[in-house]
Amino acid sequence: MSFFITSAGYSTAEDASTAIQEAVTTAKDGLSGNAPKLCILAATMDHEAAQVHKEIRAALPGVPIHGATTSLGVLGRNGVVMGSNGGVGVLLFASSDDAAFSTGSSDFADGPKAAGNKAASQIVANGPSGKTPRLLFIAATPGKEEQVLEGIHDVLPGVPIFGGSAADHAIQGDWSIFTNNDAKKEGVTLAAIFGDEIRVGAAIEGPYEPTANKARITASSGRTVKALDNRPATEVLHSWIGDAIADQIREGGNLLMQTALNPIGIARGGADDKPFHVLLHPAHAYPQGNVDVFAEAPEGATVCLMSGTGDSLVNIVDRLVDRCIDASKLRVEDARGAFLIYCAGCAGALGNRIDEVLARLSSRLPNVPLLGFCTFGEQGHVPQIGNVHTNLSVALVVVG
Amino acid sequence: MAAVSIPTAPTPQNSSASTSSSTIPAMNLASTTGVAQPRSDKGGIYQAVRFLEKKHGAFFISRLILASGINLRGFDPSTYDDPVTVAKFVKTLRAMLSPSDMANLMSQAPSIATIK
Repeated sequence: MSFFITSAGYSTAEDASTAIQEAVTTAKDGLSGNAPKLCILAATMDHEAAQVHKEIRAALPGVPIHGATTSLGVLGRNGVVMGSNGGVGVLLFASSDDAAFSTGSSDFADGPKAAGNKAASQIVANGPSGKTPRLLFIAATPGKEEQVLEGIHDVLPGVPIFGGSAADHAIQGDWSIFTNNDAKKEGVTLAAIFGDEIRVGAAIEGPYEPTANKARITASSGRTVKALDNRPATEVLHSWIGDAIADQIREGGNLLMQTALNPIGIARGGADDKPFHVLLHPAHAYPQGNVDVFAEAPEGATVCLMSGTGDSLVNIVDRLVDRCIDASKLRVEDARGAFLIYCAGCAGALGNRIDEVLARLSSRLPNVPLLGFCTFGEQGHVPQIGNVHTNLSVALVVVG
Repeated sequence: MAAVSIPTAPTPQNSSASTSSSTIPAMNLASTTGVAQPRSDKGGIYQAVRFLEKKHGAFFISRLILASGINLRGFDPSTYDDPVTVAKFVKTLRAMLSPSDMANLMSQAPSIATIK
């Protein structure tokens, strides 16, 4: 008999060993005695990553592992899972033999594109012969996601990729990914779902609308915007956003909260009347006029100021559920698992209203196990564009 | 800066959090009011974070860390309250707390109220 199920477990226990045991025990209880075939793991950096990996490997011997550290807390069905010493969550997958899973990973020793290529090659080697994944979950450490996606594309062109970048709380590089073999401070991990009968719905969006404020990037380097319309980037941003960022523009400083509802976006195809915007989150301003963002800012591209509200950051969940259900032709009652990526900048700005997001999701997908991450970059597949790396976005995957 | 080691600030009579465990040591900061205040140079941020976590939850502390860039869970009772860090801490809090919640916190830690 064919089946596909998932089950989630969470814990706020103070020590990593107890937290993993609690989360895994709860999740395994929901698998009705079936053996897990894949574990997606979320943990905050408050637990030592190597210890977390050691504990999950001991708790789930032989089960492929994929995951990352999440900022702020683990997103669960009943709210944010976060205690005084962190949070842990797992999503276990079990299925009949007509579905399969595989994982692959790499560090960045040979560069991010080669890492993507290597991890994708492992997905193929570890998966069922001759089969193409229905979807890839991705978790990479922040900084080079665009190149990682290129490397994956070379091996698995057209396969939708959804996930988010590993994150800590203080943006100090205390993030990790959890591969099948270890915890890494730098690299990429992938997990694949195979199976012709599995229904997969997935979508990514930013909860913002474009405004009339536009400018061309006239100087940039990687993820640093230096000039917009030949003026210092900070000056233009200040004229658009106002004095809420005046101190940071003058002295330099963190812009994350002030720009969480007003990022900048680059229109990237899609429907003409409503193009998809790759979003760039202004993270840090420098007195000399540069602004760091969390995605590549190519010279010559036109950026536009985007605008969102607390309501738009909550209501986006409804659109994503609708899109997932429509795309997969899955009936809500047949949904078996949900995977949520919610930008940490959005979650930080939303505050306790993040519980509304999770309550809305639980209401729209009743009894569906959920695991969610707060990430420092989001990746997803956009129809007519392909797989993208973006910021301040929300992605949802529903399987059944 | 010379430290004056006074462990706890006096608890105001109108404070809603009046137990000794939630009283926050004043931090060793130069006052802009010119009024002498009891000050300690360590443990103030740690105690403030404990107070805030008790009142607003662990997710609030995570957000505070994200917004400030200060790894607040790494602080303990003996951590030095660096004035620059304290100033950044208070500035971030002003953007995240309601005026009444900020006033409540300030009543527990009067010396941080001098930071603009």
